[in-house]
This record gives sequence, C-alpha cells and structure tokens, in this order.
Amino acid sequence: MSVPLHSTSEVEGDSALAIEVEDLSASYLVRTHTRGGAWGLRNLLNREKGDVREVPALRDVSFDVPKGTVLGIIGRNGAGKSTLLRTLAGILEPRAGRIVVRGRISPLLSVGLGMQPELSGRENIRLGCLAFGHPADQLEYLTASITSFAQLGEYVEYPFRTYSSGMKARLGFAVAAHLDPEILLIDEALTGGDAKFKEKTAQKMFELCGDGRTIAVVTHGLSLVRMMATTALWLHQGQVAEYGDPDDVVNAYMRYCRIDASALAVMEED
Amino acid sequence: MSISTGSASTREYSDIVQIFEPNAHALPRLGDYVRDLLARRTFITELATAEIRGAQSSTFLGELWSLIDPVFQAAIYYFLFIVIRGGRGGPNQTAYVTVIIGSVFFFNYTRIAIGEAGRSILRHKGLVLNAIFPRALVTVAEVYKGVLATLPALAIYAVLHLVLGAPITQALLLLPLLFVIQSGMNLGVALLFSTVTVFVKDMNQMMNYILRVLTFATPVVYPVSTLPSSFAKYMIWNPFFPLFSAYQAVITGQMPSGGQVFLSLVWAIGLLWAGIWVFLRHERSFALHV
Repeated sequence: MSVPLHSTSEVEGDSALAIEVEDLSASYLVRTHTRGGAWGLRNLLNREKGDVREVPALRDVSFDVPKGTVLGIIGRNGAGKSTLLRTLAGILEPRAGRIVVRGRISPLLSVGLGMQPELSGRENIRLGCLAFGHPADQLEYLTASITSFAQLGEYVEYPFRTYSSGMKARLGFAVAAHLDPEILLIDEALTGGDAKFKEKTAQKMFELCGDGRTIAVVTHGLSLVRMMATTALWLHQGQVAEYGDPDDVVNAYMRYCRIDASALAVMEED
Repeated sequence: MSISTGSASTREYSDIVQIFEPNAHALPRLGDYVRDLLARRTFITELATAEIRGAQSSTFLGELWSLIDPVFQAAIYYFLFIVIRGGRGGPNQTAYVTVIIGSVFFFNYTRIAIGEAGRSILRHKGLVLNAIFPRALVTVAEVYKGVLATLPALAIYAVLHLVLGAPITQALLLLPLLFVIQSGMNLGVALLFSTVTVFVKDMNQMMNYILRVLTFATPVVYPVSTLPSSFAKYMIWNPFFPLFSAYQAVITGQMPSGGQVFLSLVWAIGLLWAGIWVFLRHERSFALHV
C-alpha cells in the first residue's frame, strides 16, 4: 500500500530496524487571540506581532527501533510525545531531520479522536477499516471481531457521541489493533477502559508483539511500560532525556518527578 | 547520532519503506495518488451516506427530509411566481417557474460542494490529525454527498417538469453532460476552498458571503434572458455563468450554444486542475495548520 502523503526515495540502512529517527525536529502552531484596540484593526495592520506562533515540540531527536520492539514513550504533558507519534506516522511533517519507517503503520493514533461523533460505532469501524485500505468484503468479519473485542454489544449501533470514555477507548484500540499493522502506534490507549479491558489490551499487545510486530505507545502508565515495553523513551521538553531499558528509564523519570514506588502504585491504582 | 536497543524480530515485514523529511511543497505522483483514492472509493460512498444518515438520525422523518426539502423549496417558488404574480406571467409563466426551480435545484449541488466540501478538512480535523489516508478522500466524499442530496431534488423536478407541461425535447439529453461538467467544477472549487480554509480561518466565515454573491452572479433565481447586456459581459469571469445559462436553455427546451458548453468545459478543466494542484501541494502541511 502506498501512502501518498510522503516522499519515498532510495533508502539505505539496516533493514532490521522498523523505525530510524535522525536529528528530528518538529513544531506545531499556536494561535493567540490577543485582539488589539479598534476591533483588532491594529493587529491586522501590524502583522509582525501576528497571532500564530510556531512552537518547537521536538529538537534533534534521534533513536532507532528494531523490528519487534515494544517502545514505551513517557514524559510530562507537553514533552512532545504525541507530536513524535504523529511525525512517526507521517501525519505531521518534520521541520528538520529524517524518519525512515519500514513496514505498514496503523492508521489510528489517538483513541477515539479519529471517530465521527454523529455516526454509530459500526459506521466508524467500517470507515476506519476502509480508510486504511481494507477491501470491502472483509468489513463484515472485521466489524464483528472488533465489536466483540471492544465489548460493545448493542451499543455498536448507537452514535459514537453517546459512548462513555471507556467505550471510546475500547473501540479505538480495537480498531487500531485489528487492522493488521506491522507497526502499531498508540497514543494514551491504556489510560481508558476499566481494569478488565486494560488487562485485555495488554494481552493483545503482548500477542501482537509476540507475533513480531513493532509497537510504539505513548502512556503515563509507568507500571505498564515496565511490564510490557522492551525499550522505553523519556522525552523531556522535546528532547530525548533517556532511552533504553524500561526499568532504567522509568526509574530515572520517577527520580526526576520525585515519585516514589508507593506513590506510583497509589496513582496508578486511581 | 542514533541510539538503539532491543532485539531484531523474525517476522517478515512487507517491503513498504517510507521516508518522512521536510519537503513541504513536493507534489506526490498523481497516478499513485489517484490509484490510492480509487482503492478507497468505498470509503467515499460510506462516509457520504453515513453522514447524511447521521445528520437526519435525530429527526422524526429521517431520510424523508431529502424529498420533503426540495418539495418545500419548489412550493415556495411556485407560490412566488405563479400565485403571487397571478396571471401576469403570461404564457411564459410555466417556463419561468421551471427555469427557476430547476436552476435552484442544480445550484444546490454547487452550494453544498462549496459550503460543505470547502470546509471538509477542518470538519474532519480529528481524522486528519490521527489517521493516515489521502486527504482528498474527505473532500471528494463531501462533493459526493452533494450528488446524493441533489438526486432526490432532481427526481422531484422531473415530476414538476411533466406536471407543469414544460417542453420535452432532445436538449434534455444534454443534462447528464452538464451535470458531469458541474461535478468537475464543484470538485475543483471544493479542493481549492478546503485548502484555503485550513490556512485562512476567516474563509470559514467568508464562505457564506461568497456563496450568496455567487447565487446572484449566476442565473439561478432569475432567467439569464432578463439580465441586462451591460452586466452580462462581466459574467464571463463567473465559471458557473455559462453552465447555468446552458442549464436554463435545456430546461426551456432549447439547445444551449456551443460556446456556453465549451466555456463551461474549459472552466471545469481549469478549476479541477487548479484545485488538484493547490490541494496536493499543501496537503502535507494540513496537520500543522488545522
């Protein structure tokens, strides 16, 4: 499947790597609504003050992810985790640097955000599968399997806007995991859903990983990173603070945040 | 410098390799892009039909509204031009009212294409930020939604055309060709506007005024024959003017002039080319600006 949003050219490098990130910088735009006097005419005439600012989100980030890795990406809010995932997916264009991705990437990142609120769960599932390029004749089977995994029952016929946050999380993860990606990118998937579904999600990710797929997951669940990830990446203010063994990276992050193990247990229990 | 850890997998991966680097205005290969769109054509039809269903799901009459709406519109124009004008329309009264109703129904398609499809990227912001697919899919789906919304209105018009005794001539056979030309124009304008609204948010507000001006600058609520010639010479700059002049000729049983059809075709090709070029050139930076 070709993805026309991106350029492809001759690529060299290690074919055992699923993702290569080289000196990556990326940014996003922030609109400030500071209206000047005279109903904003002053701003209109004085464009250098502008109301759109480019905020650097990632700076000179470099790392490699071998095929079959479960990469846990952690960091405080605003550290650049979601921006990193979007640039890895090719949704957000880098400002500098280069990313090479070898394999088919899952098309859904942030749980529930790609779903249409007025449409039913069933319609959203079908659209998700079709956007990814699945043939129409597989839709019935996929819809049944996703509905069953997400434990939606009769709610699959209800509009997505009526779903609880847990149901949205279950559906989002189920769609992404069932699209048969070789590289699965998930943003905050494990923060939604009840304890039973979290266990089911973890099990599914183990299954996908055991099957040799590559998974990159952005999460605040430090225990889950310890339990599931084979590698962890701590992003801080858009830069790589630590990268490597999940226990080492999580410990370093906890030291930085001044969280002790008992406090973490209580936080994640909540 | 790169850091790496972990063990290599034994699973065979597909040979897809993608490189993402700063290349903001590079155009994708058009052939590949169109192939990708066609491979996802079911997405276009499903999104359009699901959104129409979704919009009407909270109403009591549901999908019946797609028939009721054009009936009401036709009734209003009939009341204005037949009842209020009384017998003053003379023998041309039937032609007058069929021209207005037909033009309004055909123009509704353009109104939806510009109004809805022109905002399609912003409206599907969630999908654009979180899913990977050729972005033109959502714009094409919105234009297709316009086709689906227009077809019931055209069926209502066909009944009115017969009931009011409007002329049935060979010229009517040109309607499908004009509709295809209109679709090309609509898609071109929709691609242009959906790109512009991503970068210039004010265009969202401007769209309503643009549509209003376009409605009056195009022979929709008046027959083209009533337009003073001093105005008509400026109308060559309105892409929809020759097309709706041709529509009105066909509805009144006359063959449109070759110039009207040719000019419409040239506008359609030009707008489509410009729309595709602008959209593809900026598509990669949509996620940064939505």
